[in-house]
Amino acid sequence: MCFKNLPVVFDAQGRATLKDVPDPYGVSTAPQTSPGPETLSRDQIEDLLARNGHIKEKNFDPVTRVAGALAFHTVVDLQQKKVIEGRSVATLFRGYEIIMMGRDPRDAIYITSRACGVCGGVHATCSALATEMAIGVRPPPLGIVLRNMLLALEYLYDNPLHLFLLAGPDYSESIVRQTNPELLARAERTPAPNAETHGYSTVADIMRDMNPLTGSLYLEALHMTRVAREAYVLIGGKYPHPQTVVPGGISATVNLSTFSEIYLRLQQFFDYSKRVVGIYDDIVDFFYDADPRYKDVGRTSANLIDCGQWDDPEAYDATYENCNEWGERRWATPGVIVDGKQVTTNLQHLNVGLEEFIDHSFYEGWEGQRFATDPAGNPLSPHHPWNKETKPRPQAPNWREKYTWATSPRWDRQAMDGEVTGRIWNTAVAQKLPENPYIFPTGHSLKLLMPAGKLPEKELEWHVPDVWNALERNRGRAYSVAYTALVGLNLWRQGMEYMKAGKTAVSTKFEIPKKGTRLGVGFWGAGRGYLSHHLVLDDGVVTNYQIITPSTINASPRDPWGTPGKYEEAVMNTPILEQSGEGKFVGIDVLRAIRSFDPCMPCTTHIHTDQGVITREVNTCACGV
Amino acid sequence: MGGVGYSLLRDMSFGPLLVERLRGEAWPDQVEIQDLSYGPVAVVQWLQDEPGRFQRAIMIGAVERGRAPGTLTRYEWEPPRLSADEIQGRVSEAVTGVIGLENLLIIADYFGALPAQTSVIELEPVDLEWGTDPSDLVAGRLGELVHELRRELSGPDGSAPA
Repeated sequence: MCFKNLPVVFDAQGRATLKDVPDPYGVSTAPQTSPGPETLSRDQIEDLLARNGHIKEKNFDPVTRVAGALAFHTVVDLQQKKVIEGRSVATLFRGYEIIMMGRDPRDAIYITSRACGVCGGVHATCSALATEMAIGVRPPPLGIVLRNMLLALEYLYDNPLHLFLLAGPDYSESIVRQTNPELLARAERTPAPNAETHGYSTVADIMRDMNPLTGSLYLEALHMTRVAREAYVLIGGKYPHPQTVVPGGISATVNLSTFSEIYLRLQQFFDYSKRVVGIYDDIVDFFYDADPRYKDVGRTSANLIDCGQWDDPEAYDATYENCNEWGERRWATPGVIVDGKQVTTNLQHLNVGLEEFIDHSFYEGWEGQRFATDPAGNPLSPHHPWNKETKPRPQAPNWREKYTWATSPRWDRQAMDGEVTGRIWNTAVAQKLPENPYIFPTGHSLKLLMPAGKLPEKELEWHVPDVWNALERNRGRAYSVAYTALVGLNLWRQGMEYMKAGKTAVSTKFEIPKKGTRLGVGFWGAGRGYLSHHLVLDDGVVTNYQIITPSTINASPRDPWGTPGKYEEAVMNTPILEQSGEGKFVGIDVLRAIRSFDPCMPCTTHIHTDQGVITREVNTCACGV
Repeated sequence: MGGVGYSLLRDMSFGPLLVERLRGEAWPDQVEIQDLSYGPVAVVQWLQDEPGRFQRAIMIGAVERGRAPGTLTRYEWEPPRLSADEIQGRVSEAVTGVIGLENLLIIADYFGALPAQTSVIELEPVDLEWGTDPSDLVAGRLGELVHELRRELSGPDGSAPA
């Protein structure tokens, strides 16, 4: 029984049914959730602001070094050094879900890819998966392996960016000198425990090379993005929007030479991962040792959700009916963690538990519930993505009512973290990973055997953290580089075996059925974490398309019960440890909390509604909304 | 000659549209025409592969600056005075998907990847909607610019670029 709030019960055979209660999906009863930060009403906040000079509003608009447009509103008590109010604001509207209406589902691959300027391939793939499920087409094994590989390479582009270009500078010498000079002095005299691996004698040496623009770790990360991109385009044709992802596999022609070229680049991440993990272990542990209150920076309840990804080519059949089985055969195990405990690895449970609320978002509600159950007969909420409709309604922000373009996705009515560490966490504790020579889940950790390169073979071990906070998100991201590189190695070996066996088909022919109603869902992930695409086809045309990304989940505003989203919770739990002088407050602790999620916010695009153009600048990633 | 911009944005796609037109013309061997709309950092890395490969660059794209719509502005690139934070901001935008003429120039300049002589041609867009084709005025500007660049890079007989 994985649900404690949804009105769904399971019989002895595990079949789910709806509880016989009035208005089962009503929102009048507050759900049981993890204890969160104390939240004050808007009236209380305004009263405090009016009566206390040391309580100030601090707005981060835009939050820099994130993808796209995010603003964050805080109210800070500078005397007690704490944040008493936090509101996450996605300032721009996306609208890809609206663009998809009435289209051929194959368009989704190319259109939804544009939702992100970093990770277009994940959207292309997720839409291909949703379409495969809807129309019933299963790719050949090598097609699945190549698709898997494409996305592993994408994350090897994405994660170093986070670690050294976006979030990393928050721990650099130039920032720490400005905000916490006492820490820098301590770092100068603190030997780096992993010096043998990464080559830095002291923690301050690491911090210096994390300096933006000039630090060698910053520049190396830029270089590594090129290595990953070069490998990616060997399959995808171009980056970030691949041209070869199709329902039923991949349309690229590959040969042994392609595999060799990919390996040449993939293997560069083996040594890189050892160094990155060593660097982040040293940085995180240094901050904890220097001041244990850093464990509270960005702290949230450990509720994490991940769809898993990288399908087993012998298990994946693109059906919803069998998704529980093929989901658990993935190179990343799907799962939901609530308060640090895994409650399911079952993709149908994960799907049935999803709801998306718009009470504090710039959208109108919708009437009715088209689907009472999923294709397997499990009950669905009227707020489930297959039932949700996207109806934008631009308006002025109001903290009491609507204040963001982000929505409030919830699982079992609880705020979740869609951050990428959920991938290794679920995999580590589920212990369902296919047998392989490199990755070993232990139930409480994930052991990663990194092959020798210039550095000797090394076993890394990521441990389930005892507190879930900003530093652990960053540490998890560092281990994710190693994990992804090893998944890539497993995929490479798998692909070579299929090539040697002459199983070289990479795609399956298909036709879009022109009659009937069909549902599909792509369960996948992004470099940043969770990703799903839900679609409804009627007579061969898309009549509903819903995208939930890691940043949709993490940037969510309060839900109908007032529970904050994860950015908001993380910031409200954050102590102000910054020591900047009077008038020089930069809010580094708040920024560390937010950036640790690797926000990927809405770009704007050309969206028309009946009211005309909402916005027309096109720039970057739309993952957030 | 490098065109920069997103596709499918009518006038804002002036850079890539111009590249298509330029590729339909004959040019001397030493002239390369590149669509540089694949991300500033990737372009910089490409330029860094062979330092000194290009003696001269003409970078072209649409930029909104409030000039009369359809105006073509040409100038020699001079980097603006930006702080390290501002340049870092540009790099952060670039790696998360922002593609733009100015962003490319600033980042390429910072990393020393631009040819010594770099000219910039900017178009002030007329139509900011989305679509495959530019406005009529800008379509005319495309033809004019192709003609002008041909003349600039042509030999004395004017018939073929030298």
